[in-house]
Amino acid sequence: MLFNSLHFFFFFIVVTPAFFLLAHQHRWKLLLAASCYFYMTFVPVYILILGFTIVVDYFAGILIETSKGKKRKFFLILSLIANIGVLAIFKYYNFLNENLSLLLGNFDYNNKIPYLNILLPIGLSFHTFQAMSYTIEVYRGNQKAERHFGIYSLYVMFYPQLVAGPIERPQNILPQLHEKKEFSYENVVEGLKHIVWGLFKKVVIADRLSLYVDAVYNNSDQHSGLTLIVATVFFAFQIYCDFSGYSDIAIGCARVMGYRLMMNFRRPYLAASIKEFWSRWHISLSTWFRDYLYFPLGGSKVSKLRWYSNLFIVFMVSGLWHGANWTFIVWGALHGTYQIFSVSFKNFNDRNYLGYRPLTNAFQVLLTFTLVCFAWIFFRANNVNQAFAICESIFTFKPGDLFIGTPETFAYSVIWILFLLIVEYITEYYCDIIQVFHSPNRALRYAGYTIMVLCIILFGVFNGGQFIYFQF
Amino acid sequence: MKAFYKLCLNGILLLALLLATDRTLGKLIEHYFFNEKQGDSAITTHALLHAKEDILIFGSSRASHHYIPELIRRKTGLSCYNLGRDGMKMKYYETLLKAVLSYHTPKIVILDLNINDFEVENNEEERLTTVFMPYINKNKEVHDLIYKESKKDYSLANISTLYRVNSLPVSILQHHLGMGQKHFNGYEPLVGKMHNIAKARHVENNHYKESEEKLAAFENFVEETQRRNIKLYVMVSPDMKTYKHNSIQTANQTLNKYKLRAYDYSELFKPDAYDMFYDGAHLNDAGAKAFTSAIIAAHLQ
Repeated sequence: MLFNSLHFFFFFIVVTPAFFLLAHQHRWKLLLAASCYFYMTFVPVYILILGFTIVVDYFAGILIETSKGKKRKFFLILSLIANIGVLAIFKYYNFLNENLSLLLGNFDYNNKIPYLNILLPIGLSFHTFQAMSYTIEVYRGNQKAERHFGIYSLYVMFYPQLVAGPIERPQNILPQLHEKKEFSYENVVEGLKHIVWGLFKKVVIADRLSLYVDAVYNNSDQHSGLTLIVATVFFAFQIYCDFSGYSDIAIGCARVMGYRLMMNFRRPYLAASIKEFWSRWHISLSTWFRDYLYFPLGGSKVSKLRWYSNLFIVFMVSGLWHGANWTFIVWGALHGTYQIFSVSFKNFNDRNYLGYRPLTNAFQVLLTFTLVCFAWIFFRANNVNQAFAICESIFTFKPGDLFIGTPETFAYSVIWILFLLIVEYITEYYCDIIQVFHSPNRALRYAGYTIMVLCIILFGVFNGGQFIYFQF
Repeated sequence: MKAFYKLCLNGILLLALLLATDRTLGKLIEHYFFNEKQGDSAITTHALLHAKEDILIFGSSRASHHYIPELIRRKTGLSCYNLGRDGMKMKYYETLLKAVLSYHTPKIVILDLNINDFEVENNEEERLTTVFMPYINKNKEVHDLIYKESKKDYSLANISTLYRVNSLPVSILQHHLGMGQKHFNGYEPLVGKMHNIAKARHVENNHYKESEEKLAAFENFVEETQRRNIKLYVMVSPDMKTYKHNSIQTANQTLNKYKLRAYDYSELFKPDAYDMFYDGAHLNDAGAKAFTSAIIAAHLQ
């Protein structure tokens, strides 16, 4: 069930009123049932995988809390093995096997390990990471083990963030699941605003851009260097609007019922360095890696060489988290390399080398965006060979006209990117443009709502398919 | 409870505002859409609402760039309109013909058969629904087609007037400003010579698979014309390439039942007649003139 489908619309308008009509002690049952239904609309049988990790982590949490000494660590490791094991089997097994075959093939050996004919469970990496953060936090003593099995299940399965995050921390979401939520006009309106804005980003911008990006990337060898640059820039905005649109809808759906999820994006393309980019992009994942991988590795409080290798490892793992494909690993490696350069030249970056601060800042934003776009080539390409071929076409300025495709699609793409940039710029440097929705002037507020909804109806692409991050 | 009533009241107010704006803005855009003089939509609008010509030509981009209605009118004295549209296939022709026949019976129908007209294709329903959406309440055939192909689109189009003109404002503006390809009674001339000379003339599409639905659409098309005693010419216009699969043979299996046959002009020009082609599949204006003259002489005079 996609957030941008009529199916979800009906689901939402049934579940939300029912939530408020039920007594507090029964609400978790409704939300859990709704979340199960939500998840089972994709591939029903995969609910069993979720069930497995929920049971393991629920008991692991209690055992970690009640045990002492090495036993605590033992139960934590057991839980991590179970979670990572599920990921390894469903997400990485075939990838590892394929690469093993290639490796053995070089030595004329035949790999006889069979491949698994399985589909990747939707949102597996998201809910697995959320589950792992629970047991780690219990182990660290930052979170009490949840005794209520239903509430714990809901922590992993809460439908707004089940399949594509934000990857929540138990400290934020578990107490909220216990709280009695009163119907609040402000929460409902605030939630609906997030939903509309998220839908706008998904169906008006991301799905429109995908028409051009898919046309170019699916026949990349036919296109000029200029076309490939344009398609890559379009993809940068497509993936941003697709994923942040999803996050906004998730945050909005939860907010309507009174739950507050963490912010996942903060205008990432206005970042003036790669380090800053990662503090604005997919915040719930980057902080997850920071807290559970980067810091345990020693973070920056080690020798310079170790520090750099820590950065590189984190981004390689982040790349692998996105998918079992070399394209994601190269993407992660590129960001790891950027980070190392970024921290190495920190003093230079901090300098006002163009003599005029706004100009230096604009240059840094543009440079960061260019580097991020370059890495997106690997993220979007179907395989590494295609990505390298695209890079070659771009850097050798492969001649040819700019592919326009359908003129309307191209025109809308440019218009909406400019619109988004203006909105983001104003929000970053002046005021939150969403404030128009908070204006005390009712006419202005209603005009804002109406324009946004009508833009979705008039300019939305309603057959755009699923969210990109669902595959992770 | 007070908060709930406040939400309901404001919700109803907002919904009323949305509906009123949707209707008003939707009608305004529809007005400009139905009054377009250029662009593909103007041709479809002509077919669905204004066709009164003696000869109507159906087909894809190959039809729209290959048949010159004005030349046909001058030589035969019969009025003619080219209803060909880029990227369209058999189900579009069938729906369009049925829609035209609901209010007008032409004397002659020419169907330009494309090599891929019977091929199984993804997303065809989506494309058809998109193209016909603005006409959902203008024509029964179109209404029924959208109802059959997409219940979601059908429901949304009935709720929202703006949804019917989804994504159209830029092209409407473009056509009202006189930008984009011009057409003359549906004919869109292509100017220029073929510059990417195809090395391989013969195309072997090993994944080619015929669609039962499209074959049925073709049979319906033929049957509709014969039931109303309309003279039907099924033609394959000149092509720079030859193909392994043969849509003419497939078409003839149906046409023979009605004692008709398809006319193959795919090799009207010599293989090296690059000055007649705009690209591998489309004639330029000179090629279209030569081809139209040839079919007038052979069939229409």
